[in-house]
Amino acid sequence: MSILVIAEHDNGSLKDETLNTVTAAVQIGGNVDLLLAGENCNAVAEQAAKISGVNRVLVADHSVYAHQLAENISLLVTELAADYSHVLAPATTNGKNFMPRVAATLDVSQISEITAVVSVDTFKRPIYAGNAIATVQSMDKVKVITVRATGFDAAACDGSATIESLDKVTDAGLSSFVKEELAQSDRPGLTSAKVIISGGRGMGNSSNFNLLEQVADKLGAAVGASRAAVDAGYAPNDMQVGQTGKIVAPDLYIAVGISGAIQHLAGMKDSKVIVAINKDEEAPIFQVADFGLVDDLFDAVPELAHSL
Amino acid sequence: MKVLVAVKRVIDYNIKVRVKSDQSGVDLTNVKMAMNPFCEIAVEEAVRLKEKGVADEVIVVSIGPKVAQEQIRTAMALGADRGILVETDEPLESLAIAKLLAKVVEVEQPDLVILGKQSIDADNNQTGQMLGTLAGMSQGTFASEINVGENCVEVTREIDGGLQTLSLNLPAIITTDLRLNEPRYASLPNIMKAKRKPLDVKTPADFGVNVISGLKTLLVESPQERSAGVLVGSVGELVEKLKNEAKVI
Amino acid sequence: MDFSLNDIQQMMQDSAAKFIQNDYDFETRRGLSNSPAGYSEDNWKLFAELGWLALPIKEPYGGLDGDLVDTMVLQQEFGKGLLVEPYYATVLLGANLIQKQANDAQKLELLEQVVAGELKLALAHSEAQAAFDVSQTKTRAEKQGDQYVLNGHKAVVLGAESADYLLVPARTSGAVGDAEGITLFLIDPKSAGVQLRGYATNDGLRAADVGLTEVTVPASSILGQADSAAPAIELVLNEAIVALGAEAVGIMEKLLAATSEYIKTRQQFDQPISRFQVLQHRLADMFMETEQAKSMVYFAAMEVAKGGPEASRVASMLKVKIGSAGRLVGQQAVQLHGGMGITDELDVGHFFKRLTCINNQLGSRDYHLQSLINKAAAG
Repeated sequence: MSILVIAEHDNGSLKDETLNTVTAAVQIGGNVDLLLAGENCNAVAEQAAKISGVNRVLVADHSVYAHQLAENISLLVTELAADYSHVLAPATTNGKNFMPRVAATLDVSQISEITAVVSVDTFKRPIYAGNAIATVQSMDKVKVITVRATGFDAAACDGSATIESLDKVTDAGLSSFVKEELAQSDRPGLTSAKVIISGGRGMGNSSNFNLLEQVADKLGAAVGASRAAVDAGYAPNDMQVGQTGKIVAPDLYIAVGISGAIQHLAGMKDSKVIVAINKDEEAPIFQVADFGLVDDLFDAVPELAHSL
Repeated sequence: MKVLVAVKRVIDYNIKVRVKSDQSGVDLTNVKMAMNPFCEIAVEEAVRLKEKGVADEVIVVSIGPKVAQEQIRTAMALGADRGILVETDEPLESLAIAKLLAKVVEVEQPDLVILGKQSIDADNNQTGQMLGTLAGMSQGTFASEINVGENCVEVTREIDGGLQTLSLNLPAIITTDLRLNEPRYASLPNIMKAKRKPLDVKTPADFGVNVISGLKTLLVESPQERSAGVLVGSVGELVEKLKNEAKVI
Repeated sequence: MDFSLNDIQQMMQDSAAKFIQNDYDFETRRGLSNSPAGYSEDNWKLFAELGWLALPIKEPYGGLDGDLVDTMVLQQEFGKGLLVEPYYATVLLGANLIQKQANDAQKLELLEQVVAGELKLALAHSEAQAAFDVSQTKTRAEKQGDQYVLNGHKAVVLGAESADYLLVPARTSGAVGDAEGITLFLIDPKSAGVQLRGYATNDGLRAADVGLTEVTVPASSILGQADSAAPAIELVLNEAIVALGAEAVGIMEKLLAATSEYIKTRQQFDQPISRFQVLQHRLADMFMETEQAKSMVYFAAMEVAKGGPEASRVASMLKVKIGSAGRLVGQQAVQLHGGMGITDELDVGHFFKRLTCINNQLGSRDYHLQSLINKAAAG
């Protein structure tokens, strides 16, 4: 049995979700290879080779893979899949984009966003926004799986895999890259941060998010937002934590002025420790919080920043 | 141009789901059903394309039980021109749905297919992409903006960390994200008109599609409840507990 | 009897429910209620676009020819949002009365404007001694040549301040208590001699007391025929009772859901309070009253439209049921929420206030109970 894991990266560095996905692959068992498709991504290959549990890093380095266009990547993965029993990718927007194409071409079902491995062919995955957990078994010849990073620990980085380059160039010629606007930040990304501090509608306006940034600076935390805060225009879309935003599970999640709508809880309830700061003691967020502080956030948050 | 929109009948998004006691699935008896919210956004986008004069026909298709006609009628009340129901009482997996949609695409030859990025029941996020590959089309998933040009469509996508813009050759598949638009409410005159719009009913057998799935759901259970923790009296106490008790800072 | 909604009603219900859910949460509603106008003009335009203003109006006047059941469906959803827009005043009272009383030219002119959202109306029928029975109207209109001169006082006229026209019933012949002799006037509230004293009602709507002092209007401002308006007014008020009943049922459903959710989450003695049998009994009572009220509304929606004496009797029965059910459901909802139930921040108390005001609109429970007793005694 051998497993192909598709690496998530930006041509410059490997994304942490790859490490969690490798852990899922190792739990399934067997030989694990990592596919790295990109352009000028040698540095990433070096990083990837250090992931424990990975046997070979297969590098497809070509301009057609530069922007992870689903049509091109899925053709490449489909060609390679013949040699594998499982194909895994992180359930990032990227993995979600190309993996169903791989599954459809192979004429198999995809198992989306698994959070646990039960056996080689059986997995757990959340449905109904995490309000139910399904255990599903796949009878397909190749198991095409996306992995929710928060369900698995990150693999260690003390391995030494061999790096092999592939000369396959698969260009579907169906789409082309126009531009990308990525948020520039010195802070860790939401999905990989160990600590997250998020603000809700209670923040009142966008400039009050500065208060959260002061705490985030002290803790090396990422800053998130609830959908209510995003909808109110206090924070940009890519900061949204929740069912329709990012699914996160940091060691510490601090929810500030967030009431705790089911939609939001679905995105953060697997965090190890949850802190809620809200002046409404009836707010549902307190039902999932390990530590709750009933207080005006405009008093509590500056004090928190000060005392760290 | 011709736009095809696929819609799914799902549990109303305001309903809190309950897992059945025999753990065979989620209890759907007497539960209010509605159009999947992402599909509603897809319908709205197609109708806006028509209002802008970009599209001249909007066809809505659903695959599901007879009652899914309600969702097709709703889509027609929002402005779609005609409907197709592929009627089946079997709950189908994304792959089977994508295969059936590919057949509909073959018949209808749309220039653009718009779907929701995921359904709020199975949360799979697969069908659009699968249809893309089966129909040999390019795809723009998680769209937050669409601009149709000559023989191509520019799609801005919500990706991790920001936005990406792609140019897709037509015909293309687009899946909608939450912020693409805000769907309108169906007006009464349009609801009445919808009643008279044509709705074709087909079956999977009509298309000769094998809908057997390689997946089996063994068990559906409730997620582990988080137990409520403690209330602290001050920021000082909070910091102390995070440091010494939880040891996370 | 088949009580299920047809496809169109179902979709209309979905559409209205979605509007209330997405664009009419409690805080939004509070803001509108506290604004100078007391409602949103943008919402009014939206209602026009959605065809809601056209619902009960006949096709020749730009309407959609909906029946009382259609109105019921919409009102039930409006109840869940405690709608403050003057839909009831303009469409269900004003436009409906024009439709039933005015001549064709008047209908054409006025109703199309209502449908387009360009005209708002208020029915100034109630007087201190005549909340419901229009034959008790004391306001008089004296004919002087081609003109009429009105004098009198109207109480709690809903939507009067936002109305472009008031529909004013006044006695032109006969004595107080006579069925004949009531004439309906269309009066611009800016006319000389019309004084509006506006205020917010307990349920957050806007109303006004209207004084009429030597208000002089041409004979052409009579809607339909002189002396003949009472039967049409009676029918419109009976239909309005059905609409109020539907609104009340929407409110009761909302209170039932909110209370049920609350007692399942509120913990006391280390368990949700819904585990306590006494509270379960109370919730069961709320449920039964709501269902009975709903059945009564369905029945009335079908019977009242037929008109005649039976329509009045059924409307009275409905008003009695709504009064008692609304009181029980409202009180229990407040009590089961504990102290929070009466706070201004929580919506529960506001729903109860609306139920209480509904009871006092168009004749209270006691009034209609007495009226039913009188009818039964008269054989």
